[in-house]
Amino acid sequence: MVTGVAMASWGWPFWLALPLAAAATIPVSIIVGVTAVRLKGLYLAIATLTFADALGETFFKYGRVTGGQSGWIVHRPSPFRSDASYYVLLLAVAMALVWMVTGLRSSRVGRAMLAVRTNEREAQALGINVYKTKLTAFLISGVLGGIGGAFLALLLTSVTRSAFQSPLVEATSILLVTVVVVGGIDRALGAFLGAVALVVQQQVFQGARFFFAYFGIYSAALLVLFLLYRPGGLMQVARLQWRLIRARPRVGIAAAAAIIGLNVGLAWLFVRLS
Amino acid sequence: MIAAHPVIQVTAFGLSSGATFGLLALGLVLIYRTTGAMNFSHWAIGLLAVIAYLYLANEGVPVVLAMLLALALSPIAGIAAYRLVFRKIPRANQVVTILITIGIAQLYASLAAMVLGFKQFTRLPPWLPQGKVSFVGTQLNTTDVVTIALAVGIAAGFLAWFRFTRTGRALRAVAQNREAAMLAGIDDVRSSTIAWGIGSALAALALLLVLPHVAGKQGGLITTFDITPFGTLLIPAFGAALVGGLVNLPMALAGGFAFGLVRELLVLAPKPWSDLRAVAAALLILLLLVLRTERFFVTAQEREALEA
Amino acid sequence: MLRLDNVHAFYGPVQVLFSIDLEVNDGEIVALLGTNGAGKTTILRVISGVKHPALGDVVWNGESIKGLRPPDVLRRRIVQMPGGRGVFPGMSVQENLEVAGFSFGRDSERLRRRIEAVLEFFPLLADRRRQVAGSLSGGQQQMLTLAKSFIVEPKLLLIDELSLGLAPKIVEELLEIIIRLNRDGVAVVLVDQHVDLALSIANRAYFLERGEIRFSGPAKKLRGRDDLLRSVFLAGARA
Repeated sequence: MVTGVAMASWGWPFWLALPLAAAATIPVSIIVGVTAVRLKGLYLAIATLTFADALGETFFKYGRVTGGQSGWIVHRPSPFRSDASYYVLLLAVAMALVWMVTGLRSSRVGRAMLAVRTNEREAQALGINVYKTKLTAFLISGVLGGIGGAFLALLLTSVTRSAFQSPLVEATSILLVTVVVVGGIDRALGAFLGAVALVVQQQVFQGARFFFAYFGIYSAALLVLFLLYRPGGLMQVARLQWRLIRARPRVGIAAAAAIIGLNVGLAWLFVRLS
Repeated sequence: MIAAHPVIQVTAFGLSSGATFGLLALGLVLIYRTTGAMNFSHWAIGLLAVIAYLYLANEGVPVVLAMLLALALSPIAGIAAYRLVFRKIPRANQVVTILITIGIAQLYASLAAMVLGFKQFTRLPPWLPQGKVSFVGTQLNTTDVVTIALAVGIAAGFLAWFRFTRTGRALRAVAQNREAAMLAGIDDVRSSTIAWGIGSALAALALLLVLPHVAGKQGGLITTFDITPFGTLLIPAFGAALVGGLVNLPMALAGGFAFGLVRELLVLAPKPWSDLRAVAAALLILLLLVLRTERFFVTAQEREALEA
Repeated sequence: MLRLDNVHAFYGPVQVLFSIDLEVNDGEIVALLGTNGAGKTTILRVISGVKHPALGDVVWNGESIKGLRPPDVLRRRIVQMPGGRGVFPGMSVQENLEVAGFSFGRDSERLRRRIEAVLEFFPLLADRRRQVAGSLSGGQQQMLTLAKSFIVEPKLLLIDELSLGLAPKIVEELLEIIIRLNRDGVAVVLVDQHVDLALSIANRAYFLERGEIRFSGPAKKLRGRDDLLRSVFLAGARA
């Protein structure tokens, strides 16, 4: 969002606009966070939905700043103009972020976050500032969102209302939730894994018209099934599989091969059919 | 005299959209209190009824009959979601429940989009009589007046049923103390099924009142915005439910009218203020969330049971 | 009368009951004791059908009632009084009692008769029929909860935490009512944190620790087992 303003209106180069985009999420995250930290589960979910809608409305309302309905055009920085090179850049950034967030898990702040999630009262008794910890989590995720948004803008090479507002925002938000759940909700790598799994499928089957058309149904079904039967996502599946391989190598390897084979086979079938 | 006209007109507008918020909110609260699930798929469930209505009307079924049939079918979507999915989740796990309602929302909305053939616009025939009624010298849309009357009538009937019948009392018992209700011999699965069924029908009625009538004589359009899982009317409906602390049914209905009135009356506000219309609902919801409205309606111990 | 055979139960992946064998004879008062989280309430829930055991059997007068849903268990006049506060706080005392007779179906005459009969035991509640249950004091709410479990004329009454948070005087009153009921032939299983109190009226007792039965026998004998009871007292002192 802010990347767009900075680059298009002020003519800033991308490398300066990116940190700005990340930084710009901080006040928003704080405003959202300060309210959200006081809320629990259900109330928080309602607040999030409301915030998402209201922010989208507001940003594009003020056409002067944001280019209005038509949005702006943004250009990728010089060495990464082609899709392939931009992809390499994105991959590198994504891996770096996964590494950082994974590192966070074993840091002091990360351990505090885990404690707060597990049992708020006990965490408080241990001297952890619950309020500050939650707010930090909101900030970090806000900054990550800012970076993601900036790269998304460059991927689409334009920032328009339709790309950042309902119904697409809702569909995208749900897809994000799906990605996180399918990957594994309690691991940074899981989110990445889920994203790769889903988007690869989305792209591979884009040619298969009938499959792409049903992607919404497919991903929603995936979300519900994972939540019901494998709440730990693909990470849990992988862990269970690994344990099985260690305990009973033959059966485990056969099962893993069967799962992978089935998926590859299905993919091949879809591509053939389309 | 002339200046009074727009106020009355806008009030009628506000009350009629408020009526639909109220109906949606009633369903949300009923399902939440009885089963513990805050239903983010409420909109999508209602949407399926609208699709059924459209299908029947296109098949040549008279519109009013098509609407009644769609309404009669609407509980299926909610009951299926409950029986096949929500029943299997432990009640205590609220985050998973919410995530799953989001998944169901996406699932049903995608189904609706599929039936519509992924078109940008689909025309919906109106089923309410089109015309104008005169009220204190102001011309009002018949659809608005009928919507208000119908919504109030059905909501009143539902509240009376909930309050005075045996089944209604059983549902209230489950809502207030699930374990004690089960130990008194009330079948909680049956109660939850009834709650999901009625909640779905209320959502269906709300959408069937709004969507086919947004464009007057032209009927209504279903656009891509309407096929989103959390359609735009769901946010004020959550707000309305929050007015009753997510637990009080009559207050949720009243909240619906309040949200409708605020939204429409802001049209009359002077320029910078009327811009607030888009975010008014969000601001009100924030206020309600910070006020923690639920504490006015249930005891701490009941709340703990709900949120556990 | 009632027998639990080798009952195992889980909450999700966590096993909470291990091979429970338990028996209640006609006209007995059985105390079920143990530390917090030892599985006492779960045993009651298994009997009343709220919780289904993974393994083992629950036998009522020669018939297996394992896996029956709560309404069907209730029909056999096995009644569990819910732990904590068991009232419907938004309903009046009268409505609470009416809901307790939900299993009577549309037989309103029978319901009316039972409510009158039960209220004779609880004159205090009879004076407050129209009052909303949530506005009653803690002791009165507990009284109402007990009254509700009398509506269906239990043959076996399962009581979860009778004395929790109540003044000793009220507890004594409630105990007297239970003893009266027991003299009329109602068998009682009593779960209570208050060991002395439970043992004072019980014929036999079971002691649970981490989902396993550590002791079963005459109530008097358990009183001498300081090694077992100490853990309860320590937990009680901390709470």
